Amino acid sequence: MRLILTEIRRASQRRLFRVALLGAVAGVVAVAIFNLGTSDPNVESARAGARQQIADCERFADEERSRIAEKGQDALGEAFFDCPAVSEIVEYYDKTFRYTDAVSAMVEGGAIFGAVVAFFLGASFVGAEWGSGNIATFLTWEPRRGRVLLAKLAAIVVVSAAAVAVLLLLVVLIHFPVAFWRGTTEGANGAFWGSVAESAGRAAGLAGVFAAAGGSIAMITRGTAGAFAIGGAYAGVIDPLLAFWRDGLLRPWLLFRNVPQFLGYAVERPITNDFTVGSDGGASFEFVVLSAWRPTFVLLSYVAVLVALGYAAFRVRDVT
Amino acid sequence: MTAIEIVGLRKTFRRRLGRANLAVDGLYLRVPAGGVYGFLGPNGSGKTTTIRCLLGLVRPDEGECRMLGANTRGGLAEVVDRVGSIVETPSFFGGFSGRTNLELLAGARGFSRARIDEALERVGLADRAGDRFRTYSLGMKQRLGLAAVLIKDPEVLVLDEPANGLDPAGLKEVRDLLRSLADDGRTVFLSSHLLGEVQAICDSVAILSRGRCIAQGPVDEVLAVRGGNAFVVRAAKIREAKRALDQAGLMATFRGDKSLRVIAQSQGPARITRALAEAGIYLTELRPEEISLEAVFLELTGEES
Repeated sequence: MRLILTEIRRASQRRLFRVALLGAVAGVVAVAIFNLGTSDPNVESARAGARQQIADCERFADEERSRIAEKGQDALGEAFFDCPAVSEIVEYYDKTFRYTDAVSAMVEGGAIFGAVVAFFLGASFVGAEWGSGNIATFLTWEPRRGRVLLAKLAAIVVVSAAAVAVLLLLVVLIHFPVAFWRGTTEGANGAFWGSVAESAGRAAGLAGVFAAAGGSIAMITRGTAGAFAIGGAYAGVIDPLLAFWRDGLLRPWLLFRNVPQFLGYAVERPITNDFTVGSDGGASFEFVVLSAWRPTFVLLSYVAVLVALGYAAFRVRDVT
Repeated sequence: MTAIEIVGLRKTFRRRLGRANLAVDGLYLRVPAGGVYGFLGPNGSGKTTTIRCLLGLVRPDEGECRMLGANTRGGLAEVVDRVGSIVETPSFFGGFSGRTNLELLAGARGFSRARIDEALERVGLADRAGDRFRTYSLGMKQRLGLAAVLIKDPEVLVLDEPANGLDPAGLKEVRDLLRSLADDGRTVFLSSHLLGEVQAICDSVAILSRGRCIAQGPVDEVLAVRGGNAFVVRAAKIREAKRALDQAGLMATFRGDKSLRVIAQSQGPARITRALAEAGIYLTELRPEEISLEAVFLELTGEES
């Protein structure tokens, strides 16, 4: 535990971590300011916008009717010139800041961003150890390499997950005043808070998983750049290629296919087994929220394999 | 009692391309507890590899290293708090201050902050401890490495070139520090290129060449083996003196300072004075040659290569 606490201290004191955290905080604040500036709780201005669009529509319809009548062309039918009612389009002009919708979207979207940053932080945390040569110094203080690796990974998992949780808490808190001045907190009931807490928990968990993956790969490559390259190659080339090659067979086991499910996103699921186009001309897919158990198992399996490989490489190879 | 024992150590570094490099070739070494033990050898002789094997950083192909009775392969954790070490240039995190670096190490093993302050004070780095490591000079980095060693108050110190980059005053401080640690009963295993320094503070030495130990023992004994039969002779007629000594079967060579170096296997002073007296030449100086560790080192490693 002492070793883990020391590593947590080191991870949290790193300049890269602090810069990333400050950048993320600045980003959250900027988004809140943007939302504050672009939102407008005045329903009447939304109705005015809708009415203006309807007026434009009716003017255009009149002009078309006149043009057609002058040229003696066949009438297109009145249905062609139908304009919508205010109630049908007012939502497009409604700039009211809806706290529950906005916060849910930001928490879910922030999870992916947090996971990517956590991967880089994890890789950099372990990679810097090799880059500075401090790993040799450290091993003369704690020669049990398994403990060293696990302490480092535990530290970066804890720090990354905590940072993501804190940032999402900031998202939740900072948008309260935005909703107060520029919108509504309608729908912010117990079920909503439960859902947000669950999403934030999954986001923090995903950050931890990605941080551990980054750290493990950096332990194999003995540097940050190599870990970045492998992470980028997997995300940009290998995972998409595998999906393209054997989508039906590999889909359940591919990392980036499991991430959305883990986060509780609604994902595409084929209605039929043969992936054929439906009789109505649309694809036979439906969007559903699936259980997080299997993606959790898949993600943890990926991390377990990477940690095992990292440990094997660390244990066997000389530190020169 | 033995502080460090190395038995039949062998290590080959295999390269992906090209031939393998035999770094240590069956090394045997026994370092007694207490005192300063010099570990000498030219570049590439296997000193650092030996030290890395000793500290568990490199896995030997064959052989065994023991420190304070523990096999360093697997058992190092039992004694690690009693062993302080520096391997080559001390490596720490450049972005952290010297003090933070020490706190991170000490925290991992539960040593107190008071020990850190004490160690920083002892190596003369207390005033700069708050500065980032990357701003330190090489000498300051060495001092920080020594401070890290001292935090543990170790029984055995394994130091690979601890005086690298130190100025003359720093060299003297480190020399005095290591001597005082040894005088307290600790064992200092010191690898260094500064042979004058080694001779000044070491009680025993081992000389390594091509991964093998070619001489080891107390410094006086190592020097005596190589230098015990050489004499410095000074006389008014130096050329005639050389001729007379050569005729007497003594091997004489000119030194740079108008004196002769004479090798005499036995009864040296008596044979030299008799040969010169018979030639009518009178000595102005006759003394055993003071051979330096550097001379022995160069002679031994030169023979090897």
